[in-house]
Amino acid sequence: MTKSYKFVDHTADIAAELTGSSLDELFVAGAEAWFVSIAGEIKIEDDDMLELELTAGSKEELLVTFLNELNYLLITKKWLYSSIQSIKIFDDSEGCELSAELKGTKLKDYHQLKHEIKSVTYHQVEIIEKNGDYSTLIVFDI
Amino acid sequence: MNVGEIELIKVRDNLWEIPATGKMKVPGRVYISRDMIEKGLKDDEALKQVVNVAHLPGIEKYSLAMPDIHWGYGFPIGGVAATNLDEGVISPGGVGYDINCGVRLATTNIEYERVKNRIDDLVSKLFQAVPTGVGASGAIKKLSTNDLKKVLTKGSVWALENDLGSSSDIDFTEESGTLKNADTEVVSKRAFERGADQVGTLGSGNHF
Repeated sequence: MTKSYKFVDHTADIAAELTGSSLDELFVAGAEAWFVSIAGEIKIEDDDMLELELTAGSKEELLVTFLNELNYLLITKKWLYSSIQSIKIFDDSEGCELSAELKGTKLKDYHQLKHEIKSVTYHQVEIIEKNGDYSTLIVFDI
Repeated sequence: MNVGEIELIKVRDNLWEIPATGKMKVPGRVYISRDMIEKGLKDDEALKQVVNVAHLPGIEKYSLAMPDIHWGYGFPIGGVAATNLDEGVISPGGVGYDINCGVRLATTNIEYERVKNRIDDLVSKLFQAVPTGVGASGAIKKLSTNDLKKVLTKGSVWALENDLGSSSDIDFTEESGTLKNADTEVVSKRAFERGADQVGTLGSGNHF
């Protein structure tokens, strides 16, 4: 898999350029950027698994919804995502679907988080495919 | 003076005007010192955002920016605008996602000379007393959804009724702490879930 994220300058919030050689990889890159934004480089346990299914009207909406779901799990369920066991994105004329198995753990007191992301935003999200590679900017409001 | 392509005309000390040109409906006005312009705004897109906001349908008088102006989403951070109630647009994106991120100013009878060598201790005590930080929660007992609805509709008055404030606090709170016609029926279940734990905290506190 070829995927990456790169944080770019933003005066107020956290912005990252995501790339992937498939939509699945792009979404994984987004999840990794989300994790590093809130937790930095800490290593956490992955002793728990959670299945996730989401639908949306577009790839962009699905990406924002997916990353906001990671946020929702952390803030309301105190469940911290750490990595993706599997992910599959379906994108056709009727909409988009995501099916994923997430690895993570219940938040513990010793997990020192850097930031709280108030929301993953739609700001400048546009998934572009070029020569089989996918990319987009994503901005996390902190 | 010019900042990039944008002309700034001095109105008075610390107030500059961007003349209305092209399709701008009103001028822009920026509250900022010359020194801050020269050191902080030269390479910033924020002034372009002041110009952009001046295009909003129904905008009244000026597209304003406060001294904390910097690059935001549609509005610059620090941007302020009013739109006509009947004909103007509503722009929730104008404030980003931090709607109602507020500031409180409190006075004490502590004299600076007495505490100037213990500022670090004072700040530590404040952080112990005021729940804040990523994941801050549990400031008050967990509220039921019905109680949360009362918090949302009554605002500061709910705090007063539950011995969590004083009546003089209400006098110094915007709108006396209650927005009329607040409708909790339009608040999603998820929004309640997200906010429940953070009632009575400063949230992550990064804005302070």
